[in-house]
Amino acid sequence: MTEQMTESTGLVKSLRPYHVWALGVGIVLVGEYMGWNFTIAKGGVLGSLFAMLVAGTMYIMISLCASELGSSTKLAGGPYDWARLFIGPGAAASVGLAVYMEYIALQAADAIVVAFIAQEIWPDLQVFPITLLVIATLTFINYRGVVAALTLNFFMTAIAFLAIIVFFFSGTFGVFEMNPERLFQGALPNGLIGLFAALQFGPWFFLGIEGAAMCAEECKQPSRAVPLGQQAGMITLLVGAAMTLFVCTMLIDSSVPAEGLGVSVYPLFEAAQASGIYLLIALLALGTLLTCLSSANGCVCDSSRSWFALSRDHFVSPWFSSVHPKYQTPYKAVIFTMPIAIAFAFSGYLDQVITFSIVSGLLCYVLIPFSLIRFRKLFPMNSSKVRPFISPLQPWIAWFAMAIAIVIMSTLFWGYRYNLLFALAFYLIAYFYFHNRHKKYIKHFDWGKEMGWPNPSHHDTKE
Amino acid sequence: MNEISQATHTQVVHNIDKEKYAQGLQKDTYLIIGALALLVIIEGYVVYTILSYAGPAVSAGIRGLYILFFLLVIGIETIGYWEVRKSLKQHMYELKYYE
Repeated sequence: MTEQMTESTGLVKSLRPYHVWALGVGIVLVGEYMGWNFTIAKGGVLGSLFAMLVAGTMYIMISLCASELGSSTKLAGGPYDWARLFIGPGAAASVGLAVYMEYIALQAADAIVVAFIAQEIWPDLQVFPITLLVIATLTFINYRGVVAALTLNFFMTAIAFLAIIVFFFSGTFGVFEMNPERLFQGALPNGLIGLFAALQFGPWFFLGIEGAAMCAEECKQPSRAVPLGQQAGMITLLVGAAMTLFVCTMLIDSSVPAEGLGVSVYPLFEAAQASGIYLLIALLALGTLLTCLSSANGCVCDSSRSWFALSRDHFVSPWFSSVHPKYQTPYKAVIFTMPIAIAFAFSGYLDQVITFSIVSGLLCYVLIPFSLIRFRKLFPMNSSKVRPFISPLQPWIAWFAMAIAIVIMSTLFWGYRYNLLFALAFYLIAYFYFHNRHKKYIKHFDWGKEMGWPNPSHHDTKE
Repeated sequence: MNEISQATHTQVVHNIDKEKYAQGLQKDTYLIIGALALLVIIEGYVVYTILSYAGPAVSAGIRGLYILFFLLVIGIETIGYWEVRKSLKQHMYELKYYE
Protein backbone atom coordinates (compact mmCIF):
# COMPACT_ATOMS: atom_id res chain seq x y z
CA MET A 1 0.00 0.00 0.00
CA THR A 2 1.25 3.43 -0.94
CA GLU A 3 1.61 5.56 2.14
CA GLN A 4 1.90 9.26 1.71
CA MET A 5 3.59 11.04 4.61
CA THR A 6 2.55 14.55 5.52
CA GLU A 7 5.33 16.02 7.59
CA SER A 8 7.84 14.55 10.00
CA THR A 9 5.48 14.88 12.98
CA GLY A 10 2.23 14.15 11.12
CA LEU A 11 0.05 11.07 11.06
CA VAL A 12 0.32 8.76 8.07
CA LYS A 13 -2.34 9.24 5.37
CA SER A 14 -3.23 5.81 4.11
CA LEU A 15 -6.84 4.94 5.04
CA ARG A 16 -9.59 4.23 2.50
CA PRO A 17 -13.42 4.22 2.66
CA TYR A 18 -13.55 0.59 3.84
CA HIS A 19 -11.31 1.46 6.79
CA VAL A 20 -13.74 4.26 7.74
CA TRP A 21 -16.59 1.73 7.48
CA ALA A 22 -14.62 -0.77 9.58
CA LEU A 23 -13.86 1.80 12.27
CA GLY A 24 -17.46 3.01 12.54
CA VAL A 25 -19.28 -0.31 12.28
CA GLY A 26 -16.57 -2.16 14.21
CA ILE A 27 -17.14 -0.03 17.29
CA VAL A 28 -20.93 -0.16 17.13
CA LEU A 29 -21.88 -3.64 15.94
CA VAL A 30 -21.31 -5.04 19.43
CA GLY A 31 -24.43 -3.11 20.49
CA GLU A 32 -26.48 -5.28 18.11
CA TYR A 33 -25.00 -8.47 19.57
CA MET A 34 -25.75 -7.39 23.14
CA GLY A 35 -27.20 -4.47 25.05
CA TRP A 36 -29.91 -3.35 22.60
CA ASN A 37 -32.29 -5.89 24.16
CA PHE A 38 -32.64 -3.71 27.28
CA THR A 39 -35.13 -1.80 25.10
CA ILE A 40 -37.25 -4.98 25.20
CA ALA A 41 -37.14 -5.07 29.02
CA LYS A 42 -38.45 -1.50 29.12
CA GLY A 43 -40.92 -1.37 26.25
CA GLY A 44 -41.38 -4.81 24.71
CA VAL A 45 -41.21 -5.44 20.96
CA LEU A 46 -42.95 -2.18 20.06
CA GLY A 47 -40.80 -0.18 22.49
CA SER A 48 -37.69 -1.67 20.93
CA LEU A 49 -38.86 -0.94 17.39
CA PHE A 50 -39.73 2.63 18.38
CA ALA A 51 -36.33 3.14 20.04
CA MET A 52 -34.59 1.72 16.97
CA LEU A 53 -36.42 4.07 14.58
CA VAL A 54 -36.08 7.20 16.74
CA ALA A 55 -32.42 6.57 17.58
CA GLY A 56 -31.81 5.60 13.93
CA THR A 57 -33.23 8.91 12.75
CA MET A 58 -31.00 10.79 15.19
CA TYR A 59 -27.88 8.88 14.21
CA ILE A 60 -28.46 9.36 10.48
CA MET A 61 -28.63 13.11 11.07
CA ILE A 62 -25.57 13.04 13.38
CA SER A 63 -23.58 10.99 10.88
CA LEU A 64 -24.45 13.41 8.07
CA CYS A 65 -23.26 16.30 10.25
CA ALA A 66 -20.11 14.32 11.11
CA SER A 67 -19.49 13.49 7.43
CA GLU A 68 -19.59 17.16 6.47
CA LEU A 69 -17.48 18.30 9.43
CA GLY A 70 -14.97 15.45 9.10
CA SER A 71 -14.44 15.84 5.37
CA SER A 72 -14.06 19.61 5.79
CA THR A 73 -11.70 19.77 8.76
CA LYS A 74 -9.79 16.51 8.10
CA LEU A 75 -8.56 16.42 11.71
CA ALA A 76 -7.97 13.50 14.07
CA GLY A 77 -9.88 14.92 17.03
CA GLY A 78 -13.29 14.60 15.36
CA PRO A 79 -16.02 16.11 17.58
CA TYR A 80 -13.35 17.74 19.75
CA ASP A 81 -11.77 19.58 16.82
CA TRP A 82 -15.16 20.62 15.43
CA ALA A 83 -16.16 22.12 18.78
CA ARG A 84 -12.72 23.77 19.12
CA LEU A 85 -12.94 25.41 15.71
CA PHE A 86 -16.61 26.40 15.68
CA ILE A 87 -17.85 26.69 19.29
CA GLY A 88 -15.05 27.43 21.79
CA PRO A 89 -12.36 25.95 24.03
CA GLY A 90 -14.55 25.01 27.02
CA ALA A 91 -17.04 23.08 24.88
CA ALA A 92 -14.18 21.56 22.87
CA ALA A 93 -12.41 20.17 25.91
CA SER A 94 -15.68 18.81 27.33
CA VAL A 95 -16.48 17.09 24.03
CA GLY A 96 -12.91 15.80 23.68
CA LEU A 97 -13.12 14.35 27.16
CA ALA A 98 -16.63 12.98 26.52
CA VAL A 99 -15.43 11.20 23.36
CA TYR A 100 -12.42 9.85 25.24
CA MET A 101 -14.60 8.58 28.09
CA GLU A 102 -17.30 7.24 25.76
CA TYR A 103 -14.85 5.06 23.86
CA ILE A 104 -12.60 4.05 26.70
CA ALA A 105 -15.54 2.97 28.86
CA LEU A 106 -16.87 0.97 25.91
CA GLN A 107 -13.43 -0.59 25.37
CA ALA A 108 -13.32 -1.68 29.02
CA ALA A 109 -16.82 -3.18 28.78
CA ASP A 110 -15.89 -5.03 25.55
CA ALA A 111 -12.71 -6.47 27.06
CA ILE A 112 -14.65 -7.77 30.08
CA VAL A 113 -17.23 -9.43 27.81
CA VAL A 114 -14.47 -11.09 25.74
CA ALA A 115 -13.00 -12.43 28.99
CA PHE A 116 -16.39 -13.77 30.09
CA ILE A 117 -16.92 -15.47 26.72
CA ALA A 118 -13.46 -17.03 26.96
CA GLN A 119 -14.25 -18.24 30.47
CA GLU A 120 -17.50 -19.82 29.28
CA ILE A 121 -15.60 -21.74 26.61
CA TRP A 122 -12.66 -22.62 28.88
CA PRO A 123 -13.96 -22.55 32.49
CA ASP A 124 -10.43 -22.80 33.98
CA LEU A 125 -9.53 -19.31 32.71
CA GLN A 126 -9.75 -16.27 35.00
CA VAL A 127 -11.55 -13.10 33.87
CA PHE A 128 -8.90 -10.70 35.28
CA PRO A 129 -5.83 -11.84 33.27
CA ILE A 130 -7.85 -12.34 30.06
CA THR A 131 -9.24 -8.79 30.28
CA LEU A 132 -5.69 -7.48 30.78
CA LEU A 133 -4.42 -9.56 27.86
CA VAL A 134 -7.16 -8.27 25.51
CA ILE A 135 -6.53 -4.62 26.44
CA ALA A 136 -2.73 -5.02 26.14
CA THR A 137 -2.90 -6.85 22.79
CA LEU A 138 -5.22 -4.30 21.19
CA THR A 139 -3.10 -1.43 22.51
CA PHE A 140 -0.03 -3.05 20.93
CA ILE A 141 -1.78 -3.49 17.56
CA ASN A 142 -2.84 0.18 17.57
CA TYR A 143 0.68 1.21 18.62
CA ARG A 144 2.14 -0.59 15.59
CA GLY A 145 -0.04 1.16 13.01
CA VAL A 146 -3.50 2.37 12.14
CA VAL A 147 -3.69 0.52 8.79
CA ALA A 148 -3.04 -2.87 10.39
CA ALA A 149 -5.46 -2.13 13.24
CA LEU A 150 -8.30 -1.08 10.95
CA THR A 151 -7.68 -3.79 8.35
CA LEU A 152 -8.02 -6.29 11.18
CA ASN A 153 -11.21 -4.50 12.21
CA PHE A 154 -12.54 -4.73 8.66
CA PHE A 155 -12.29 -8.53 8.60
CA MET A 156 -13.63 -9.05 12.12
CA THR A 157 -16.56 -6.68 11.50
CA ALA A 158 -17.35 -8.17 8.09
CA ILE A 159 -17.55 -11.70 9.57
CA ALA A 160 -19.74 -10.51 12.48
CA PHE A 161 -22.11 -8.65 10.12
CA LEU A 162 -22.22 -11.56 7.70
CA ALA A 163 -23.27 -13.80 10.61
CA ILE A 164 -26.30 -11.56 11.24
CA ILE A 165 -27.23 -11.58 7.53
CA VAL A 166 -26.96 -15.38 7.27
CA PHE A 167 -29.02 -15.80 10.44
CA PHE A 168 -31.75 -13.41 9.25
CA PHE A 169 -32.11 -14.94 5.78
CA SER A 170 -32.00 -18.48 7.19
CA GLY A 171 -35.03 -17.59 9.31
CA THR A 172 -36.83 -15.69 6.57
CA PHE A 173 -36.39 -18.52 4.05
CA GLY A 174 -37.55 -21.19 6.49
CA VAL A 175 -34.30 -22.93 7.44
CA PHE A 176 -35.61 -22.86 11.03
CA GLU A 177 -39.02 -22.11 12.46
CA MET A 178 -39.89 -18.55 13.47
CA ASN A 179 -42.67 -17.70 15.95
CA PRO A 180 -44.49 -14.55 14.79
CA GLU A 181 -47.06 -14.88 17.60
CA ARG A 182 -44.27 -13.79 20.00
CA LEU A 183 -44.38 -10.34 18.37
CA PHE A 184 -47.89 -9.80 19.71
CA GLN A 185 -47.37 -11.58 23.06
CA GLY A 186 -44.43 -9.30 23.92
CA ALA A 187 -45.72 -6.21 22.11
CA LEU A 188 -46.03 -3.68 24.93
CA PRO A 189 -45.77 -5.24 28.41
CA ASN A 190 -45.28 -1.94 30.28
CA GLY A 191 -47.80 0.14 28.37
CA LEU A 192 -47.12 3.50 26.73
CA ILE A 193 -44.67 4.61 29.44
CA GLY A 194 -42.50 1.65 28.43
CA LEU A 195 -42.54 2.86 24.84
CA PHE A 196 -40.74 6.06 25.84
CA ALA A 197 -38.61 4.48 28.59
CA ALA A 198 -37.18 2.15 25.91
CA LEU A 199 -35.67 5.19 24.18
CA GLN A 200 -32.84 5.36 26.74
CA PHE A 201 -31.35 2.14 25.33
CA GLY A 202 -32.04 3.03 21.68
CA PRO A 203 -28.49 4.43 21.23
CA TRP A 204 -27.13 0.90 21.79
CA PHE A 205 -27.98 0.06 18.18
CA PHE A 206 -25.73 2.84 16.86
CA LEU A 207 -23.58 4.23 19.70
CA GLY A 208 -20.22 5.42 18.37
CA ILE A 209 -20.82 5.64 14.58
CA GLU A 210 -19.81 9.31 14.70
CA GLY A 211 -16.31 8.05 15.52
CA ALA A 212 -15.87 6.88 11.93
CA ALA A 213 -15.00 10.46 10.98
CA MET A 214 -12.20 10.53 13.53
CA CYS A 215 -9.76 8.87 11.16
CA ALA A 216 -10.15 11.73 8.64
CA GLU A 217 -6.61 13.00 9.28
CA GLU A 218 -5.26 9.55 8.40
CA CYS A 219 -7.35 9.11 5.22
CA LYS A 220 -5.80 9.26 1.77
CA GLN A 221 -8.82 11.16 0.40
CA PRO A 222 -10.82 12.28 3.44
CA SER A 223 -13.46 14.15 1.45
CA ARG A 224 -14.33 10.88 -0.36
CA ALA A 225 -13.51 8.30 2.30
CA VAL A 226 -15.34 9.89 5.25
CA PRO A 227 -18.83 10.49 3.75
CA LEU A 228 -18.78 7.30 1.64
CA GLY A 229 -17.51 5.04 4.43
CA GLN A 230 -19.54 6.62 7.20
CA GLN A 231 -22.88 6.52 5.37
CA ALA A 232 -22.21 2.92 4.29
CA GLY A 233 -21.57 2.22 7.96
CA MET A 234 -24.80 3.91 8.99
CA ILE A 235 -26.81 1.82 6.52
CA THR A 236 -25.02 -1.34 7.70
CA LEU A 237 -26.08 -0.59 11.26
CA LEU A 238 -29.68 0.25 10.33
CA VAL A 239 -29.99 -3.01 8.40
CA GLY A 240 -28.20 -4.98 11.14
CA ALA A 241 -30.43 -3.48 13.84
CA ALA A 242 -33.64 -4.34 11.95
CA MET A 243 -32.50 -7.93 11.26
CA THR A 244 -31.35 -8.46 14.85
CA LEU A 245 -34.60 -7.15 16.33
CA PHE A 246 -36.62 -9.29 13.94
CA VAL A 247 -34.97 -12.67 14.53
CA CYS A 248 -34.47 -12.23 18.28
CA THR A 249 -38.08 -11.23 18.97
CA MET A 250 -39.32 -14.14 16.86
CA LEU A 251 -37.11 -16.71 18.62
CA ILE A 252 -36.86 -15.60 22.26
CA ASP A 253 -39.84 -14.96 24.52
CA SER A 254 -40.27 -11.30 25.52
CA SER A 255 -43.74 -11.36 27.10
CA VAL A 256 -42.34 -10.98 30.65
CA PRO A 257 -39.97 -7.97 30.84
CA ALA A 258 -37.86 -9.42 33.68
CA GLU A 259 -37.24 -12.68 31.83
CA GLY A 260 -36.23 -13.93 28.41
CA LEU A 261 -35.02 -11.53 25.73
CA GLY A 262 -35.11 -8.39 27.92
CA VAL A 263 -32.43 -9.70 30.27
CA SER A 264 -30.42 -11.88 27.88
CA VAL A 265 -26.65 -11.31 28.00
CA TYR A 266 -25.97 -12.49 24.44
CA PRO A 267 -29.37 -12.19 22.67
CA LEU A 268 -28.21 -13.02 19.15
CA PHE A 269 -26.28 -16.05 20.35
CA GLU A 270 -29.26 -17.21 22.44
CA ALA A 271 -31.56 -16.73 19.45
CA ALA A 272 -29.19 -18.91 17.41
CA GLN A 273 -29.34 -21.55 20.15
CA ALA A 274 -33.14 -21.36 20.00
CA SER A 275 -32.99 -22.00 16.24
CA GLY A 276 -31.33 -25.36 16.97
CA ILE A 277 -29.04 -25.16 13.93
CA TYR A 278 -25.48 -26.02 14.99
CA LEU A 279 -23.82 -24.06 12.17
CA LEU A 280 -25.73 -20.90 13.08
CA ILE A 281 -24.90 -21.33 16.77
CA ALA A 282 -21.19 -21.57 15.94
CA LEU A 283 -21.40 -18.61 13.53
CA LEU A 284 -23.16 -16.34 16.02
CA ALA A 285 -20.78 -17.38 18.82
CA LEU A 286 -17.88 -16.39 16.59
CA GLY A 287 -19.67 -13.17 15.65
CA THR A 288 -20.19 -12.27 19.33
CA LEU A 289 -16.50 -12.74 20.08
CA LEU A 290 -15.25 -10.90 16.99
CA THR A 291 -17.61 -7.97 17.41
CA CYS A 292 -16.41 -7.41 21.00
CA LEU A 293 -12.80 -7.49 19.83
CA SER A 294 -13.41 -5.16 16.88
CA SER A 295 -15.34 -2.74 19.08
CA ALA A 296 -12.54 -2.63 21.66
CA ASN A 297 -10.00 -2.24 18.85
CA GLY A 298 -11.88 0.69 17.28
CA CYS A 299 -12.29 2.27 20.71
CA VAL A 300 -8.51 2.24 21.30
CA CYS A 301 -8.10 3.98 17.94
CA ASP A 302 -10.74 6.68 18.56
CA SER A 303 -10.04 7.38 22.23
CA SER A 304 -6.31 7.76 21.56
CA ARG A 305 -7.00 10.20 18.69
CA SER A 306 -9.21 12.31 20.95
CA TRP A 307 -6.54 12.37 23.68
CA PHE A 308 -3.88 13.14 21.05
CA ALA A 309 -5.92 16.10 19.79
CA LEU A 310 -6.50 17.38 23.35
CA SER A 311 -2.78 17.12 23.99
CA ARG A 312 -1.81 18.81 20.71
CA ASP A 313 -3.78 21.89 21.83
CA HIS A 314 -2.40 21.88 25.40
CA PHE A 315 -5.68 20.90 27.08
CA VAL A 316 -3.73 18.01 28.59
CA SER A 317 0.04 17.57 28.74
CA PRO A 318 1.65 18.09 25.28
CA TRP A 319 3.79 15.03 26.07
CA PHE A 320 0.97 12.86 24.68
CA SER A 321 1.04 14.50 21.26
CA SER A 322 4.18 12.72 20.03
CA VAL A 323 3.95 10.71 16.84
CA HIS A 324 5.98 7.53 16.55
CA PRO A 325 8.91 8.12 14.15
CA LYS A 326 8.52 4.71 12.49
CA TYR A 327 4.82 3.78 12.74
CA GLN A 328 3.36 7.32 12.49
CA THR A 329 0.88 6.61 15.29
CA PRO A 330 0.15 8.82 18.33
CA TYR A 331 1.84 6.11 20.39
CA LYS A 332 1.91 7.83 23.78
CA ALA A 333 -1.83 8.58 23.56
CA VAL A 334 -2.41 4.98 22.45
CA ILE A 335 -0.43 3.53 25.37
CA PHE A 336 -2.23 5.87 27.79
CA THR A 337 -5.58 4.27 26.92
CA MET A 338 -4.39 1.11 28.66
CA PRO A 339 -4.27 2.18 32.35
CA ILE A 340 -7.57 4.08 32.03
CA ALA A 341 -9.34 1.15 30.36
CA ILE A 342 -7.97 -1.19 33.05
CA ALA A 343 -9.22 1.17 35.77
CA PHE A 344 -12.70 1.21 34.19
CA ALA A 345 -12.67 -2.55 33.67
CA PHE A 346 -11.88 -3.31 37.30
CA SER A 347 -14.13 -0.72 38.86
CA GLY A 348 -16.62 -3.58 39.17
CA TYR A 349 -19.59 -1.59 37.88
CA LEU A 350 -20.05 -2.66 34.28
CA ASP A 351 -23.57 -1.20 33.88
CA GLN A 352 -22.45 2.12 35.42
CA VAL A 353 -19.48 2.23 33.05
CA ILE A 354 -21.76 1.63 30.06
CA THR A 355 -24.28 4.26 31.22
CA PHE A 356 -21.45 6.77 31.60
CA SER A 357 -20.43 5.92 28.04
CA ILE A 358 -23.99 6.56 26.80
CA VAL A 359 -24.31 9.91 28.61
CA SER A 360 -20.92 10.96 27.20
CA GLY A 361 -22.11 10.00 23.73
CA LEU A 362 -25.38 11.93 24.12
CA LEU A 363 -23.46 15.04 25.15
CA CYS A 364 -21.52 14.72 21.90
CA TYR A 365 -24.79 14.33 19.97
CA VAL A 366 -25.90 17.74 21.19
CA LEU A 367 -22.58 19.42 20.42
CA ILE A 368 -21.80 17.81 17.02
CA PRO A 369 -24.92 19.26 15.28
CA PHE A 370 -24.35 22.54 17.10
CA SER A 371 -20.78 22.59 15.70
CA LEU A 372 -22.24 22.13 12.23
CA ILE A 373 -24.70 24.99 12.71
CA ARG A 374 -21.82 27.24 13.79
CA PHE A 375 -19.66 26.00 10.89
CA ARG A 376 -22.38 26.88 8.38
CA LYS A 377 -22.75 30.32 9.98
CA LEU A 378 -19.01 31.06 10.07
CA PHE A 379 -18.29 29.64 6.60
CA PRO A 380 -21.38 29.95 4.42
CA MET A 381 -19.32 29.51 1.20
CA ASN A 382 -19.47 26.08 -0.45
CA SER A 383 -16.02 25.87 -2.04
CA SER A 384 -14.30 22.49 -2.41
CA LYS A 385 -11.55 23.62 -0.05
CA VAL A 386 -13.86 24.51 2.82
CA ARG A 387 -16.79 22.13 2.31
CA PRO A 388 -16.18 19.29 -0.19
CA PHE A 389 -19.27 17.42 1.05
CA ILE A 390 -22.45 19.41 1.69
CA SER A 391 -24.80 17.62 4.05
CA PRO A 392 -28.43 18.00 2.90
CA LEU A 393 -31.43 19.48 4.77
CA GLN A 394 -29.30 21.63 7.04
CA PRO A 395 -29.67 23.25 9.53
CA TRP A 396 -33.06 21.58 10.10
CA ILE A 397 -31.73 18.09 10.67
CA ALA A 398 -29.02 19.44 12.99
CA TRP A 399 -31.64 21.08 15.22
CA PHE A 400 -33.84 17.96 15.05
CA ALA A 401 -30.91 15.70 16.03
CA MET A 402 -30.15 17.91 19.04
CA ALA A 403 -33.80 17.76 20.12
CA ILE A 404 -33.89 13.94 19.92
CA ALA A 405 -30.57 13.68 21.82
CA ILE A 406 -31.97 15.83 24.63
CA VAL A 407 -35.21 13.77 24.75
CA ILE A 408 -33.22 10.51 24.93
CA MET A 409 -30.96 11.97 27.61
CA SER A 410 -34.01 12.97 29.67
CA THR A 411 -35.37 9.40 29.52
CA LEU A 412 -32.30 8.31 31.51
CA PHE A 413 -34.11 9.75 34.53
CA TRP A 414 -36.05 6.46 34.53
CA GLY A 415 -33.52 4.37 36.42
CA TYR A 416 -30.26 6.24 35.92
CA ARG A 417 -30.88 9.72 37.32
CA TYR A 418 -27.77 9.74 39.57
CA ASN A 419 -25.55 8.56 36.71
CA LEU A 420 -26.97 11.30 34.52
CA LEU A 421 -26.50 14.00 37.15
CA PHE A 422 -22.99 12.79 37.99
CA ALA A 423 -21.96 12.74 34.32
CA LEU A 424 -23.40 16.21 33.64
CA ALA A 425 -21.67 17.61 36.76
CA PHE A 426 -18.42 15.95 35.65
CA TYR A 427 -18.54 17.62 32.24
CA LEU A 428 -19.56 20.95 33.71
CA ILE A 429 -16.51 20.93 36.00
CA ALA A 430 -14.38 19.84 33.05
CA TYR A 431 -15.77 22.76 31.03
CA PHE A 432 -14.68 25.38 33.57
CA TYR A 433 -11.37 23.66 34.36
CA PHE A 434 -10.29 23.47 30.72
CA HIS A 435 -11.66 26.89 29.90
CA ASN A 436 -9.41 28.42 32.58
CA ARG A 437 -6.45 26.25 31.65
CA HIS A 438 -6.77 27.20 28.01
CA LYS A 439 -6.44 30.92 28.81
CA LYS A 440 -2.69 30.36 29.23
CA TYR A 441 -2.40 29.19 25.65
CA ILE A 442 -4.76 31.63 24.01
CA LYS A 443 -3.45 32.81 20.67
CA HIS A 444 -4.55 34.47 17.47
CA PHE A 445 -6.11 31.82 15.26
CA ASP A 446 -4.97 31.97 11.65
CA TRP A 447 -7.60 30.12 9.58
CA GLY A 448 -5.47 30.36 6.46
CA LYS A 449 -2.38 28.88 8.07
CA GLU A 450 -4.11 26.27 10.24
CA MET A 451 -6.89 25.14 7.90
CA GLY A 452 -6.07 26.62 4.51
CA TRP A 453 -9.41 28.46 4.61
CA PRO A 454 -10.39 32.11 4.16
CA ASN A 455 -11.38 34.08 7.25
CA PRO A 456 -14.86 33.36 8.62
CA SER A 457 -17.78 35.60 7.69
CA HIS A 458 -17.61 37.81 10.78
CA HIS A 459 -13.90 37.21 11.44
CA ASP A 460 -14.01 36.33 15.14
CA THR A 461 -10.55 34.79 15.18
CA LYS A 462 -9.84 34.37 18.88
CA GLU A 463 -9.50 30.69 19.68
CA MET B 1 -10.03 34.62 -9.88
CA ASN B 2 -12.72 32.42 -11.34
CA GLU B 3 -10.86 32.20 -14.65
CA ILE B 4 -7.69 31.07 -12.87
CA SER B 5 -9.52 28.37 -10.97
CA GLN B 6 -11.30 27.30 -14.17
CA ALA B 7 -7.95 27.08 -15.97
CA THR B 8 -6.41 25.01 -13.14
CA HIS B 9 -9.43 22.73 -13.12
CA THR B 10 -9.20 22.21 -16.90
CA GLN B 11 -5.47 21.43 -16.57
CA VAL B 12 -6.18 18.85 -13.84
CA VAL B 13 -8.90 17.24 -15.98
CA HIS B 14 -6.48 16.94 -18.92
CA ASN B 15 -3.81 15.21 -16.82
CA ILE B 16 -5.95 12.37 -15.51
CA ASP B 17 -7.22 9.08 -16.83
CA LYS B 18 -10.91 9.87 -17.40
CA GLU B 19 -11.95 6.27 -17.99
CA LYS B 20 -10.46 5.21 -14.66
CA TYR B 21 -12.38 7.99 -12.94
CA ALA B 22 -15.64 7.06 -14.65
CA GLN B 23 -15.19 3.45 -13.50
CA GLY B 24 -14.35 4.56 -9.98
CA LEU B 25 -17.46 6.72 -9.78
CA GLN B 26 -19.56 3.92 -11.26
CA LYS B 27 -18.36 1.51 -8.56
CA ASP B 28 -19.18 4.03 -5.85
CA THR B 29 -22.61 4.60 -7.42
CA TYR B 30 -23.33 0.85 -7.41
CA LEU B 31 -22.32 0.71 -3.75
CA ILE B 32 -24.63 3.61 -2.90
CA ILE B 33 -27.61 2.21 -4.84
CA GLY B 34 -27.06 -1.30 -3.47
CA ALA B 35 -26.83 -0.09 0.11
CA LEU B 36 -29.95 2.05 -0.22
CA ALA B 37 -31.91 -0.79 -1.83
CA LEU B 38 -30.89 -3.13 0.99
CA LEU B 39 -31.95 -0.53 3.55
CA VAL B 40 -35.38 0.02 2.03
CA ILE B 41 -36.11 -3.70 1.56
CA ILE B 42 -34.90 -4.97 4.96
CA GLU B 43 -36.13 -2.02 7.03
CA GLY B 44 -39.46 -1.99 5.22
CA TYR B 45 -39.97 -5.74 5.62
CA VAL B 46 -39.11 -5.72 9.34
CA VAL B 47 -41.20 -2.67 10.22
CA TYR B 48 -44.16 -3.95 8.18
CA THR B 49 -44.03 -7.46 9.72
CA ILE B 50 -43.67 -6.27 13.31
CA LEU B 51 -46.40 -3.66 12.94
CA SER B 52 -48.79 -6.09 11.28
CA TYR B 53 -48.44 -8.57 14.19
CA ALA B 54 -47.86 -6.26 17.19
CA GLY B 55 -49.37 -3.02 15.88
CA PRO B 56 -52.93 -3.67 17.18
CA ALA B 57 -51.54 -3.29 20.75
CA VAL B 58 -51.33 0.49 20.22
CA SER B 59 -53.65 3.16 18.82
CA ALA B 60 -53.63 4.27 15.19
CA GLY B 61 -52.01 7.58 16.23
CA ILE B 62 -49.02 5.78 17.77
CA ARG B 63 -48.76 3.55 14.69
CA GLY B 64 -48.55 6.74 12.67
CA LEU B 65 -45.47 7.72 14.71
CA TYR B 66 -43.75 4.50 13.62
CA ILE B 67 -44.51 5.21 10.00
CA LEU B 68 -43.30 8.81 10.37
CA PHE B 69 -39.95 7.74 11.81
CA PHE B 70 -39.62 4.93 9.28
CA LEU B 71 -40.09 7.46 6.47
CA LEU B 72 -37.59 9.82 8.13
CA VAL B 73 -34.98 7.05 8.32
CA ILE B 74 -35.41 6.05 4.70
CA GLY B 75 -35.89 9.58 3.35
CA ILE B 76 -33.00 11.33 5.10
CA GLU B 77 -30.53 8.49 4.47
CA THR B 78 -31.48 8.30 0.78
CA ILE B 79 -31.11 12.05 0.27
CA GLY B 80 -27.89 12.06 2.32
CA TYR B 81 -26.21 9.21 0.48
CA TRP B 82 -27.24 10.58 -2.89
CA GLU B 83 -25.63 13.89 -1.90
CA VAL B 84 -22.43 11.93 -1.22
CA ARG B 85 -22.50 10.69 -4.81
CA LYS B 86 -23.11 14.22 -6.03
CA SER B 87 -20.08 15.50 -4.14
CA LEU B 88 -17.93 12.63 -5.46
CA LYS B 89 -18.90 13.48 -9.03
CA GLN B 90 -18.36 17.19 -8.48
CA HIS B 91 -14.88 17.01 -6.91
CA MET B 92 -13.39 13.77 -8.25
CA TYR B 93 -11.01 15.38 -10.76
CA GLU B 94 -10.04 18.33 -8.63
CA LEU B 95 -9.32 16.28 -5.50
CA LYS B 96 -8.02 13.24 -7.43
CA TYR B 97 -10.32 10.71 -5.77
CA TYR B 98 -9.46 7.69 -7.88
CA GLU B 99 -5.65 7.90 -8.11
